[in-house]
Amino acid sequence: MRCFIILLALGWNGALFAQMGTPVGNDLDPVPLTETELKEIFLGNKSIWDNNNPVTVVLTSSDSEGFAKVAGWALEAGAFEFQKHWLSIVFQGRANAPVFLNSEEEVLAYIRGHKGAIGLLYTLPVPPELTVETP
Amino acid sequence: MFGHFTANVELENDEQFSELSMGEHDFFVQSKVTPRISFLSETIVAPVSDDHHGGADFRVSIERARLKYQYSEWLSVIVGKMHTPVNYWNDVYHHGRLFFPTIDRPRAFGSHVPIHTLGLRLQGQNIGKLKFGYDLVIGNGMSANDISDNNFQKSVTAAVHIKPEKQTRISISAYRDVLFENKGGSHSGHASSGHLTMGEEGWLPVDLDYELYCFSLYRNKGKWEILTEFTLNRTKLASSNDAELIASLGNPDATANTTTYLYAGRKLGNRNSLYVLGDRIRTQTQDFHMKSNDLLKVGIGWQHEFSALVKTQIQAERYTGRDGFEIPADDKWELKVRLAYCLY
Repeated sequence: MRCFIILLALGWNGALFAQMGTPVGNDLDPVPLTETELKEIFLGNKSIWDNNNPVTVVLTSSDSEGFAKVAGWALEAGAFEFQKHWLSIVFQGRANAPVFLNSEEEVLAYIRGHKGAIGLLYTLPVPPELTVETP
Repeated sequence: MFGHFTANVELENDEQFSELSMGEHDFFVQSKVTPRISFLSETIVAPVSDDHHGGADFRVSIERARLKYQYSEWLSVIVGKMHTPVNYWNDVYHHGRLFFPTIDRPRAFGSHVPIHTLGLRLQGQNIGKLKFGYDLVIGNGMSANDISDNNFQKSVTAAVHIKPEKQTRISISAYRDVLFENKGGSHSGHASSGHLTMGEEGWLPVDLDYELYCFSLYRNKGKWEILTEFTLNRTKLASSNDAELIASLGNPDATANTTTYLYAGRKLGNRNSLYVLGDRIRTQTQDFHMKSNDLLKVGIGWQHEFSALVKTQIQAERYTGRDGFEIPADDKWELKVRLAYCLY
């Protein structure tokens, strides 16, 4: 019973289970990217790649499971806090707004068509041409 | 669009007041024009300011309109009307009441902080492990408005910050300007009754050197969120004044006026928090620009966030202070309820 309660509590806070998804990107530089560097990107702390492509963060919608997973991994908080974080830094004028899409299929399609775009996949396989190397 | 509604009950000198008000509605736009150039604007529709937010009288104001060219992480060039990045509140929240940790802005906002600058800004951010950032702004000063500045003098803002951890920012800044003929224009934000204005006893049409130094600390970690804002303002007669006039006023020293704002919130679960606040302003007697005062506000509040885009706050406040200054000590209680929201 105690284990069940602990598991329930952990499950309630998705952040504790959060793992990085598989990064996908189009014409990023530099690569490979460490997990720490990827976190900074998904927190809005990087805006230009070394090859001069703009960083465009692509996420699934704020009520999706994927968004909550990215939130837990990058901010170590829930989707709610992650949404507030992005809203705040865009309002400050210190970051460009991320692109929100309805599904991982749409995320992949967007990244395929936009240089500098980066996202995380949790369910779909990553096409080789969009693979982001990690150490 | 950001907006808010507020209800207020006030008890002052055994008299009671109450009001419901619709606050400013802020139309926010951010757009990427090219991969490196972005545009940001805020246009507000606000009730015309008076003590009772009268009638259906509204004004429209462009509060921000700026183009940003990003060369690299360490250099962006921004041109236009912007929030002067002197402290955390003005840089991060300003009209975004959804983000306000307390219902009211700090008192420094309406007294010392030059809220807008129209000009040129160099900006760098997220540099190195400490995520160092800087902002250097040159623009129309506090005597100017959005279309003109009838002097060569420009205001200068220099601000630096570090973000040593996620959701933590420590910043310091310095601001300098000359207030010509002791007039505050639309960028000063100095519209409160705490300022000496033409025709009032004590007001003199002198040029004033205006300096402001700010320190801010914001941290949101675990269950606790804190924000501290401290400002030191020094005002003195500028060298552009007639020497005889300066001598006749007794060569006064620069004043040293301070404001201190403290907020600490404790999260209760995912959507609720309980918080306390303190806000003190002290202005010296010999200041030529502001009326002297020593005022204190303390409060306690509760916040509930329905979602990331809608929240409510209820706040009880006690206003007090010390007598013996041009602005008498407050002696009142207020209870406020705020509903703030964002639609996009």
